[in-house]
Amino acid sequence: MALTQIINTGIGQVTDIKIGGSGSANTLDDYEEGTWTPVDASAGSLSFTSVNATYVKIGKTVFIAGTLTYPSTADTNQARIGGLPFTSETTSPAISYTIPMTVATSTSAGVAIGIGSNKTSGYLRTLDNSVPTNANASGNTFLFSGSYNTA
Amino acid sequence: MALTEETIEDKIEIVGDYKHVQVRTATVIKRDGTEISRSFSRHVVAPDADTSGESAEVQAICAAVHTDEIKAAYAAHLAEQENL
Repeated sequence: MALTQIINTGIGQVTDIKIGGSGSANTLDDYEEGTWTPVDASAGSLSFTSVNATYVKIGKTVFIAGTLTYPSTADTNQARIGGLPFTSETTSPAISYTIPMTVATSTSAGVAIGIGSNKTSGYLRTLDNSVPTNANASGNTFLFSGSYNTA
Repeated sequence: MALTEETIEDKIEIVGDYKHVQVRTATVIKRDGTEISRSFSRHVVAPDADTSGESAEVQAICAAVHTDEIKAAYAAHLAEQENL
């Protein structure tokens, strides 16, 4: 693998790195890390606690990780987490990204976030493809990490 | 030695078919006026989002790009992608 080109636009800033070739497909043109805030995107108007989430974006792919705790609730809206740091990619037909989640405070397992195209949120899903309600997530702490492509 | 902290929206982008407005907020630490640290947090304003808590600049951008046509198209897109 050869590092073939670096174009500087200022001290401490490189905007265009080409690795292994000179084409646009060889260009690493974006890297960024930061934080984001998961929020309830259902119609339940819930407030998560113990929220902590980060992202690392490399090229068009963003890696997210974090934790959040659902409040105690009997709300029956489908559980949906929003606040993603970037809009998911535009694709047709839609691609769904699945972000695995670990449930820290329940014996339940196999929960994920399903993210469609052009979205900033995703529904919770179980491995048997059912969609939990907020009541199903009530009081649970979720830990998650995964990636999706950005618009 | 004076340390200062300021928060600025240093990047606002319009992306995708439905004109999502991506906002990057930078927290900048300066020592005697010289930047020594910059960290980022991000959020996205969708066409159906409540923009009342956004900055005036973001509100103005959303008002310009989130037209009724875009809002209707995005609502139809969400309906097509139920459970995603």
